[in-house]
Amino acid sequence: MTRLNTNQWLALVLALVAAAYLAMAWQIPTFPLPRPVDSDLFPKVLGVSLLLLAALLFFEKPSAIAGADAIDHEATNGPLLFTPWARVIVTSLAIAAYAFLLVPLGFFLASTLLSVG
Amino acid sequence: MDALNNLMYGFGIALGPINIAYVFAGVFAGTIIGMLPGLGPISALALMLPITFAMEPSSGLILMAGVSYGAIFGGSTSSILLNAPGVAGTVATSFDGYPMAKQGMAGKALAIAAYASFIGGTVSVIFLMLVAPLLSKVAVSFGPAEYFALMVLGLTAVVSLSDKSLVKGLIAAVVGVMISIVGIDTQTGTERFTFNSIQLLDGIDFLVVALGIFALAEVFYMLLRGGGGKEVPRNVIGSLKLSRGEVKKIAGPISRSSVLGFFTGVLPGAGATIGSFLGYSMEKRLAKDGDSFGQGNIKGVAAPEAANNAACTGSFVPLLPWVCRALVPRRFCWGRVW
Repeated sequence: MTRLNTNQWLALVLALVAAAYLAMAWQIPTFPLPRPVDSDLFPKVLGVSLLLLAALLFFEKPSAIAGADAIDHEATNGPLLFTPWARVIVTSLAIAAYAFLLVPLGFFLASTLLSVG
Repeated sequence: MDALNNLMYGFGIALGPINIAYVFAGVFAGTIIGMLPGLGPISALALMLPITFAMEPSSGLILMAGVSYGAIFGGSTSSILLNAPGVAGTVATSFDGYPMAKQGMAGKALAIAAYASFIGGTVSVIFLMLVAPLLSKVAVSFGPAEYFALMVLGLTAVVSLSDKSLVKGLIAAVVGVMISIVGIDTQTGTERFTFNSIQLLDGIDFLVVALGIFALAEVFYMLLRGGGGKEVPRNVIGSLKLSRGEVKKIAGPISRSSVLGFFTGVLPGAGATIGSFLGYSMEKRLAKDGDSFGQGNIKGVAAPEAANNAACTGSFVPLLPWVCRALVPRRFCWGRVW
């Protein structure tokens, strides 16, 4: 089996998201009074369209990502913690931590931690 | 003759020294607030509300108008320089504004944004004076079916912007609509995708998503590229002057987008965001060099900026009939327009 390309990975993830979304859309309670368009119709339409689009994306040829070659390859040889991808992961974790700590710690403490850490 | 007299009367009030000072203060404060990513016209107006309570109704209205124009214009600055839109209406400006800033033409982009905003605002003020009474009837009669059609048009226009892959554009649109239906269904009151969280009942704000996608993507890209953005001339603003050729180039987009923006703004709820996207995609289709949109084309800055400021004025059309009926609740009307 050949390796999956970027589009195919993306399509698989999107299809999973669409499936979960559809499963949840079916659990939306119906309104007690009969209505021509109930709350669950639109989410169902969206879920099915995302599923179809994911299938289309799976068979589409990926184009080169703009700027991908601009990634600093020299830096990948450095220590593990300072490789570009590690930096991205550390930053995302820091942002998530900031969002969770903002309410219990308050703006001042959380922001100080983010800028110092 | 009657209309002319009313116009003169209006000018008499607007050109009074105190009111000019108010409009200056309003635009100044609005621009500064709008420049901060995440704070838009609504926050700016909310901040200025307490000040207007003690004012004459007309002065209060003048100050608020200044604040809202200023905030819409100020949003373009952070779009161009940081790729972090300050206001939802300036998201389209960042498509070409930020690439221009990267090429060291930030000053030019800012100048174009200023000219386009000014012309868009002025053209639509003239429209506002001429056709507001007629259009307000049309705007208020807009029903659910018409809005649905408008939203489909808006989404199609945005999808058409992604010229590399139509499928990806459609996926982006579908995912966007998916995010927007989180919260309470306005028709039935049913909760959708809220995971029993109180915070999600109100839905997810557009600006939060836009800011997260634009600003965080930029941060991650800079981290991946390494060197903290050494290729971006951070401190180079460049010349603010436009050459004659450039003025000629942007004259068409500005005038077309001003008219388009005004009519989009007239519809309650459509406003600056849809106006700017429609303006951008229209110019991309019309331009001979449409392929260079998204890579720092000056028309791509001029069109959405003219459209969003024109839409800002256009949104006065459905607002003013309410204001004239009752001056007191006008402060609540402002929030409804955006």
